[in-house]
Amino acid sequence: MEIFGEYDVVVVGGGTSGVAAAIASARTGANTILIERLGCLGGQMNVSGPPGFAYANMFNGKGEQVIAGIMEETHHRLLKDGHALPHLLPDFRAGYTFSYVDPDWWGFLMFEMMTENDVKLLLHSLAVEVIKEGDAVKGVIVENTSGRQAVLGKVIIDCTGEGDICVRAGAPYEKIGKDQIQPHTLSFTADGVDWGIFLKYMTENPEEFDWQRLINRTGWTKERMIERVRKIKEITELGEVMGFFSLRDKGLKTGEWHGFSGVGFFLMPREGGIIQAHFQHSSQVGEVDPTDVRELTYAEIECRRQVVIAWKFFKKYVPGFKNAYITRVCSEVRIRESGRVIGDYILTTEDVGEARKFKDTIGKSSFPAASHHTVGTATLKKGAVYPKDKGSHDIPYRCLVPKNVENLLVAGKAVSTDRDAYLRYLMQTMVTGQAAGVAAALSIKKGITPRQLEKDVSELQAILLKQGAILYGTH
Amino acid sequence: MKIYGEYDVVIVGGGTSGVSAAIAAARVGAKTMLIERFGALGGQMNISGPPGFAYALLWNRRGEKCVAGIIEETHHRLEKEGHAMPYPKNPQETTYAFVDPDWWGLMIFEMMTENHVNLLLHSLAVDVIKEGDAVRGVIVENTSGRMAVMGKVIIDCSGEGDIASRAGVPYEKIPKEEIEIEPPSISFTMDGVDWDKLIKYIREHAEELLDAWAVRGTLTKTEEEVKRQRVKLYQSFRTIDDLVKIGCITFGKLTRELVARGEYHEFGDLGFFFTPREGGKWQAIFQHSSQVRQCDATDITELTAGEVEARRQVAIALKAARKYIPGFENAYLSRITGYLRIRETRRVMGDYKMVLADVQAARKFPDVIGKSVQGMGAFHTATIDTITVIPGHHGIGDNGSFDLPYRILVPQKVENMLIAGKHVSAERNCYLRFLPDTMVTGQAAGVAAGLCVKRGITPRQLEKDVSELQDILQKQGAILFGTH
Repeated sequence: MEIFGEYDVVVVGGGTSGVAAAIASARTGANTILIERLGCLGGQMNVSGPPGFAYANMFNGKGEQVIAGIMEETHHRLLKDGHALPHLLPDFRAGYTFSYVDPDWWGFLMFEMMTENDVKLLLHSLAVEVIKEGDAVKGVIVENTSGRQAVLGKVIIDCTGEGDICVRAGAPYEKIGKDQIQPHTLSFTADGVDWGIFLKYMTENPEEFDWQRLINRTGWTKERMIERVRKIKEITELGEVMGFFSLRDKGLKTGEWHGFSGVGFFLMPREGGIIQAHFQHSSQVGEVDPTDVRELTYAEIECRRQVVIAWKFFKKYVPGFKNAYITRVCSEVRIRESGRVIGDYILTTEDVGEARKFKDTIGKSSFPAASHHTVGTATLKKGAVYPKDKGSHDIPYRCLVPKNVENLLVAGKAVSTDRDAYLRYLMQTMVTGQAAGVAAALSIKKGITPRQLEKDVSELQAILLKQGAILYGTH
Repeated sequence: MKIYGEYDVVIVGGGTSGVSAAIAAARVGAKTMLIERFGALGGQMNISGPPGFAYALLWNRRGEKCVAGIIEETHHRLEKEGHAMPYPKNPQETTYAFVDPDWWGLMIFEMMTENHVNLLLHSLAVDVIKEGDAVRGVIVENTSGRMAVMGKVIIDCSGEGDIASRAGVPYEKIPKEEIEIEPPSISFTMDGVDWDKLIKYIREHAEELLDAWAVRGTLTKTEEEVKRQRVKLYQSFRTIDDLVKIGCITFGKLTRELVARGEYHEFGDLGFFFTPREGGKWQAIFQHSSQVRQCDATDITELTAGEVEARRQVAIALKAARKYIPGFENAYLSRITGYLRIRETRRVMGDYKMVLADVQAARKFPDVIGKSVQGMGAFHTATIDTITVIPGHHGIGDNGSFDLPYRILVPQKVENMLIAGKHVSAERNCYLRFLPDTMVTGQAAGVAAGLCVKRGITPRQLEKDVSELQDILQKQGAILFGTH
């Protein structure tokens, strides 16, 4: 077979974990290639998103910043050029913060950063198989317009999101049953919203909206929260908008709302202070295993059917949307849930709830566990487990090291956790991505395997800190 | 190997030719499967486009409608729902009938469901299954692994002729060292334009904008015609009240100045077409302001480098547009395509090869399956002018249209296969890459495939008598006869 090239680090998947891994690996001195099946980089951030909590929850409930590194760097760069909103930290948003960025300019920035950091790219290439010698992974096989080729590497990082490479390499793997798997979604974006009309409706009818997540985080009473949101003057103080209860119920009765999710949207900032409405749970398709191509295909069809229904409802009923128009539809569904690779440590829901700290920490998260999407107007299941004391938990390095296979790391939503501690959120994927990138490069430099690196992570942590990551000193 | 399924007709590639082929085949009663490597259908229309001439050039210069069928059906459906501008009242003057690409994409999915087309998305076709000369199916790779999709007729709608070339069909590709490949582009859309301000500017600077149109002026044959066209354009710029009528605006003089000052790249001019949005909104779509020089899209290294380079150019173009195009001061990026739109790769050789002389003679063929009004003679180049014209090549005889014969869809050397889309059998000088052509050849290939299965013959055997094929196409709304 044709060999495309030989590299130190081969990152498979150019989504949010993959780009972070590639940058971090290159910065640690490794000859790095990033393989992506599509023609662009960014995955859930721009191709199939962004998700509502894209650049969100970078601060815990105490207002301490818990996520930085490449994520903060990209936010900072976009903010400087007018393509992001500042970290939104008003009093009522404790721990439920947003740091919105323009996804399309984020996409440009990723390409710029690949060039700046001398990351090699191999786009339009689907990784279909792994090359192994004994337990050790030696490379991957890709298919593309030029045919079938091998890409060889000393360490491979699986950033596919689905754990495709780990599974094909024989690493153990867990997946929730289809009866419980989180629904997948197709996002779209609308412009031309009259925010004045919308805000008037919202501040005059705050009981029509869902403030529970804010209440959970701040510990405020519902009355206090309602009084506070009445005073909102700018749409950007909001972040997430969810509810429209009366309108929704009317739509459910007339069949004009599909009922697969609640009614709501997020914000998308554009250059010059423009705010668009971004819909990322207005289509939800459940009971779909995204590693079964038949079901994945079905999800693409069904999501589009729901998007059309949802949009007609918004235009007809939601104040401020009369003259709004769709300006962007994602080209593929965002996959919320797939399998989790079993690594040398399995992060548990208890670890999240206890805001546990680990000696081999490579990053943090303050996002609650068991915060799962479900099909239906509730959109989210009840029972989220928040880190105690409004704090955050550590993510240990061992979650990135798959069992049974050598020279392989995993980053992104397929890292090793129990189901409820699932680290699928965008900021978590960039944290694990960055750490995997540094760990891969460092292992090569030291001539050891990623598993052997577990014995002493001090240099890994030192490099991550130098790259701006937050590892210590928060609740 | 695992077999995913067995079908009458398997279409590889869900772009503009593929979706047309799938709808048409299903309507003829074939059990149809459409395979697409991405999660969305539409290709150049929405994922990597739309191109400027997406829904345009459906009429000849006499104003006769020459292209209809599925392309017209989709336009009218979108227009009814407020997602397209109406057909032009006077198609002799302007032929743009812009549609909203995102609603087009949603509608195409609806049409697949309505017509019971089976879909296999997120699946890359990597190989063909052959028995002797006969193609029996394709092999795909996807999240579930490697699997075979079997079919009685396979239609290659990959745009690049990937399937036909892997099946051993001869193809042509231009020698890169002698001729510049038409460059691929990433398109982007800007909103928030002050259109009134731009109209005022155009009225006051008609002469300057005319220069940018000089290239298009030279497309017509005689000097006198060029002169006449310039006068006509000048008048229309001076009195313009509806920008969309022009269809495309280019800022050639501005582009030159900016390149000279180092504020713009030299690979394509700053110019745009229009995207309609519901409720009468218009956005500016730039589809040649990034153009990658000498990028062979069938070479993965060059294709990857092209994606990087195009984005570098787009970022420059966006900044220049905001800073220098009148009315764009507060405009903003609102949509960017996910990957390059590939203008030129292989042309697969079939039982007939279209030549420029066919275009110039407005030739009619007994085995016509559709028509085209593409004047030819102009190629994109990654230069400041965007377009290079080959003198004497432009124009259709009699200001008419030319027929597309069925035989250009039947690839040489293999059986049970058809081709549709930009790689149909033609010489480079009459490359049928434009969107209306791809939907016409797609629809015809779909009907032909369905019909062959029904009659138990091969696509090549169907060449002997195309009367039923033509009847069905006409019933499906295609225009085959009666135009100049």
